[in-house]
Amino acid sequence: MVFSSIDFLFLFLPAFLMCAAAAGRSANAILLGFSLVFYAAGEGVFVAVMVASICWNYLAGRLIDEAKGRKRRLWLALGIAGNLAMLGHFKYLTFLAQDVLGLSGAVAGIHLPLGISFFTFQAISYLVDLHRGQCALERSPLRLATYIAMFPQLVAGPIVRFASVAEALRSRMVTPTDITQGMLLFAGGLAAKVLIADTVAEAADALFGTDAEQLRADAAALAVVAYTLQIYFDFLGYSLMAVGLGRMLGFRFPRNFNHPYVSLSVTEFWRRWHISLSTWFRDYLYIPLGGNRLGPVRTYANLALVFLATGLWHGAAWTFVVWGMFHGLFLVIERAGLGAVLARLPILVRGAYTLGVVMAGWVLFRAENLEHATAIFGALTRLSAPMPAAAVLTTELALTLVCGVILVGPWVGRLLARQIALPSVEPLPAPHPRALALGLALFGTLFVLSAIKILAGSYSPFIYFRF
Amino acid sequence: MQHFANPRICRSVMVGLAVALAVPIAAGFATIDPEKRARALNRPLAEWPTTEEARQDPIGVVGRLADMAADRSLGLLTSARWLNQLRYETLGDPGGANVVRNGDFVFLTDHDLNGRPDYRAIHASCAARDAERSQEIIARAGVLADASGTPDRKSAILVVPSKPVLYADRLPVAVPADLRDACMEARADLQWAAQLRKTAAAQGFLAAYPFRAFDDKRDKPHFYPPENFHTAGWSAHFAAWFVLNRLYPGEFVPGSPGFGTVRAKADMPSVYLYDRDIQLRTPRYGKARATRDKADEADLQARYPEVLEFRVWRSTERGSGRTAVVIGNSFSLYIAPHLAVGFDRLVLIYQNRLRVPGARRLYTEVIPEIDPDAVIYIHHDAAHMTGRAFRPLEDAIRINKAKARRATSALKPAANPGDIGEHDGDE
Repeated sequence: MVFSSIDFLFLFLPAFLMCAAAAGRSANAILLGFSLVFYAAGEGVFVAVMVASICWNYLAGRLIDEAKGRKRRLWLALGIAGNLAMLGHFKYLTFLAQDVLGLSGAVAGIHLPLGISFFTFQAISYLVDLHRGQCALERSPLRLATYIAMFPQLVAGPIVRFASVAEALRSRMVTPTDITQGMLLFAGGLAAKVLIADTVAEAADALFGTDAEQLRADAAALAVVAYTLQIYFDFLGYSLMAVGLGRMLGFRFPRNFNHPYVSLSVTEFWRRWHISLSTWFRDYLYIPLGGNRLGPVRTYANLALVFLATGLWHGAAWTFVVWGMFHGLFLVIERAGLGAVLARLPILVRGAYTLGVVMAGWVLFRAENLEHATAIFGALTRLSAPMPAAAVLTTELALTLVCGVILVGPWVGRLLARQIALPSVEPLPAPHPRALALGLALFGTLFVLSAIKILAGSYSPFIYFRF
Repeated sequence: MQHFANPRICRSVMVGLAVALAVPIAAGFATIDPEKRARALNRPLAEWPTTEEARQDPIGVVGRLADMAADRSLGLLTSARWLNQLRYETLGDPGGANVVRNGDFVFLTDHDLNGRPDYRAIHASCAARDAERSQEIIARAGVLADASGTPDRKSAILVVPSKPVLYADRLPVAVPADLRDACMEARADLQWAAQLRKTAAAQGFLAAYPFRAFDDKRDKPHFYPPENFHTAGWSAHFAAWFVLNRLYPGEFVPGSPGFGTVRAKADMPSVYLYDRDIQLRTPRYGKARATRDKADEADLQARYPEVLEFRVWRSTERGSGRTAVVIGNSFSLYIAPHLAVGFDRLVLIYQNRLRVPGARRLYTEVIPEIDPDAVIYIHHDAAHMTGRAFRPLEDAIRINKAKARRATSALKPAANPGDIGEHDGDE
């Protein structure tokens, strides 16, 4: 089940809100119950994988908490190994056997349960934080299960640290401002996903789905631009919806995006893009590896390793490996000296460099394989080919691209913030009633427009005059 | 534990939001007529799983419930209609998932759609017209003409040029370039039509693919409605009288009636979901105009239910004394009213819903009963190129022939005359 579907918006969510409004002491049980239904609706029996993960991490947490010295470290290692083994089996075994070891046919047909990377990383962060003493043992299986399975951020993040929600899992206060902010965030996220990401996705899918040899340079460029906007607004939309739902329930999830496309270096981009993942890797991989404390060479090696892992986290394919290494390479180069050079250049040049690198990376990320990515790069220089950009460029797409480009920056938000209550991940004081009314009207309208598009999208005409 | 800072306000807002969100599905379940919705979606609606299904796949019940709710949600069709209207009327975009657009010109890409367009409808129109395919089409057309013809009865096959071929140069760039090239080639390659015409003449029936005549007229305003998939108005009349003039030379001069421009509704309403107004140039037949005879239709329908769909037109003013049977796909629905002007009674059998049992009765009972002066098959070029024009008629003809052969051999003089009675009993 996805947030932008009829069944979630008009069936699951109202049923959940109705129960949540009545909940008091049973709030966690209700949230867990709905989360399991949410997961089972999309993944069927694979809900058992999540239940197994909950049981494993509950047990590992208790063993870590009770052990002392080396044993404590051993239980942590075992706990993490169990999580990684599960992730490895479902996500990487096929890739390892077929693409790395060349054992075609040895492993096939392993289903990848939705959100497994997210809930596994959350669980690992719980075990590590517990071991480090940064959070207390969660003795209640219900609370730990609620943390791991919580449906708002289950499918697409943000990756929430246990420490940041532990208190709220015990006792949380929901204010009217939380509810209105949650609604604004959800509506804004839904609009980003449905009105922008899904619209540009049609062009991106059509162009990336076409034989790259057929694409003229303008079509290839449109494919890259459309995908650049699609992935941002899609991911941003899901994150905002997750944060909004969490806020309505009294949880404060972390901000996941901070206008990444206005970054002036690739290093800055990774401070603004999928923040919960990059900080996860920083805290649980980069720093334990030594971070930047062991000299330049070791720092570069650590960065490369972290970005190899980042690439693999996104998917089990060579394209993701190369995408991760590509970003890692630019981070290393920037740290080795390019960063200092960039700092002296005009902002526009720095922005263009960053966006160029990021967009080139998205080609690797989106392509079917490395040959396809190479062909798309080749198409970017092809002046004569059968398929121009006009083949997919409708007025709706053009308007959406313009809106998307305008909205990637913080400027519109800054312009409107004084007049209208806008969605904000950070807690803000209660807005002026007029601003709140305008905010609700604006985002209510966006919600209705998104709902219309979702409803319309389920109509697939079949014309009866078969010939 | 969850607390509310202001329980009354917080709970009211959450419940209010829940109620508002539940409206599309709750109101949908209360007000939607499932049969009507199923017709609009052209498929059965998802249903509540049976006890057996729920027992076999208990977790799947949630998914089934979701499908069921989505199918019955209020505003599903209205939303699609609004979006199509916005896209077509305001933004100038295609305004339908199954169509592409170039200015006013709309082309159907697929009759049904799963995700991205496959351009199957355009592929069908512009399919390669190689010698082997041409020979096959000609042979199959001959089988149809032969099955319905008698020495006193005229047989005709009208192949209507479709828009992707006639207006190949106006296909938008959204259509893959190689497919646009194929359509341009199809425009130029009329060898198969000439061959079909010659073979038909030799076999005593008429075959017409009035491409050149259509091409001469194609740029006249309102000839082939740009928003339509089908011929309508002037082009439908033109196709009809093209045939009439060849069946009954001298009686029907194309364009002889006066013409007027009228407002009409575009076809493909299931794509657009709203009535798109178009301008049609239509002939003014005056008193010779043919009108539907619903009583006759109902009578035929009652007696031949397997044939599924009859339409009957009568033009008594003309008094030609002639009767026709038209068998065809959706293009025939637009052309038959114009053809009907040439006959006292014209019976159309709509082929798209016909199955083999109905087609068999068509040849063995319906046509002999009507005893028409002419049997006219009408399809567009795509239906001919893909062979769909011939289904299920060919199968019915083959089975009828086989049965007739068996019956004939059974009736051959037996060595012992007494055996005949036994054979009769077997039949």
